[in-house]
Amino acid sequence: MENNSMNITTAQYVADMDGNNSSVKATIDGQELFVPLDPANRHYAEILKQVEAGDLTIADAE
Amino acid sequence: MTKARQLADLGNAYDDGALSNRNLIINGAMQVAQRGTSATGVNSNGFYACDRFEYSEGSGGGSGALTISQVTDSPDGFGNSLKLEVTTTDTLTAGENVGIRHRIEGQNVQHLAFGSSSAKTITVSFWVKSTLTGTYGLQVFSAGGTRDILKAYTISVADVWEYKTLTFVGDTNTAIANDVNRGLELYFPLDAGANDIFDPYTWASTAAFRAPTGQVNFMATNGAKWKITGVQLEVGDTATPFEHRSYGDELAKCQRYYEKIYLHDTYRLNGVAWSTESQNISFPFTVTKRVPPSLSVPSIGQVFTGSWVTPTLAEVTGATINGGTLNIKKTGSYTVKYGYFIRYQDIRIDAEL
Repeated sequence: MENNSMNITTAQYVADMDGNNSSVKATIDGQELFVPLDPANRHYAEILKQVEAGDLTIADAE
Repeated sequence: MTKARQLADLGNAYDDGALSNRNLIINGAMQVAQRGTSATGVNSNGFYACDRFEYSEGSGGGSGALTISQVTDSPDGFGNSLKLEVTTTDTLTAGENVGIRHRIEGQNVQHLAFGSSSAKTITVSFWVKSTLTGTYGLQVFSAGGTRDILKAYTISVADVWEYKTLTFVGDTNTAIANDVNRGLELYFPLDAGANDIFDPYTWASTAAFRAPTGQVNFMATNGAKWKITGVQLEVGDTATPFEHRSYGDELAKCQRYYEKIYLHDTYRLNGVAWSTESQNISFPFTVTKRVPPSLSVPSIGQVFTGSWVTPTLAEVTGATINGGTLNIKKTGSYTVKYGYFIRYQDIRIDAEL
């Protein structure tokens, strides 16, 4: 079968200088990525998919 | 090929609507390798050498591993090829697959008129060379991966460059969405488990990687090599000569999907501190991205606070299709509203399909 899935092991919101969540810091296939909150981005789309499936939780920003 | 034949083929290309920008493939001559020219121990999906050509596995892809490289071995008229070499063998089972794919945005293939009675025939041509002779496949996905068609080709002689052309009728069934998402995709299978071996077929809705009956089991041979270059996808039933583009043109096309920015000592950026530990630095991308990209900062570099020091942390607080914002943290080192230079940051920008 075609495989577009990603191995996402961590996910945490990153806040901007105004304190608003602006991206997600995630470890995807072993790489730390800062992912914008835009469903057109393939990484964010996969994050949303795994959150909806109950396989991933996005931690609050520090 | 005779001159008369070449003129006839160009006439056909004209009839099909393109004498320039015929090739819908980006980096088909494997010139651009922004991520590096070689990766070893590859055993998961990803872009490892030549831009826009992604190593892909289905159902885990088994336990084998490869080295993927941009190499200079190439047929006359080309300078590079993409090379895959097996370094850990595996026998693929069930629905496991290994191959190379190339994805094209839907908005760039609207002229194919898929989903209508006017759907255009397309032709894929490429140069290929392998240590393993036999049957290989080419699967074309359309409509965001929901429709596909499969054909086979043969490598006749080991370790010799061979030119292949495969023509596919257009898909009259399903339109390709006119957007920035995956519209068309080429998938070159190199190996597959038994569940995904099929006789070549016309347009269907399998949404699955497939390989043709007789597909060479590439992963089963240690040291097996497969190389490809000169990949062209064009409208019509005839392959025309490869449309060469300059390195600069090809790089710019690749940078819509991936870009690296490295801040050197002679190319610094500077930002403004908004707290005693954080400063923001906004920077533009060289090329507008397909979508807001994901960013990584594998090297956090240095910041100048009177002397060059290593930051506490580098993170990305936002990105649009035009640029991003870094937050370079250095605990207790900044004065609010002051500016600070940064250098040696390595920034990777990914907007791949």
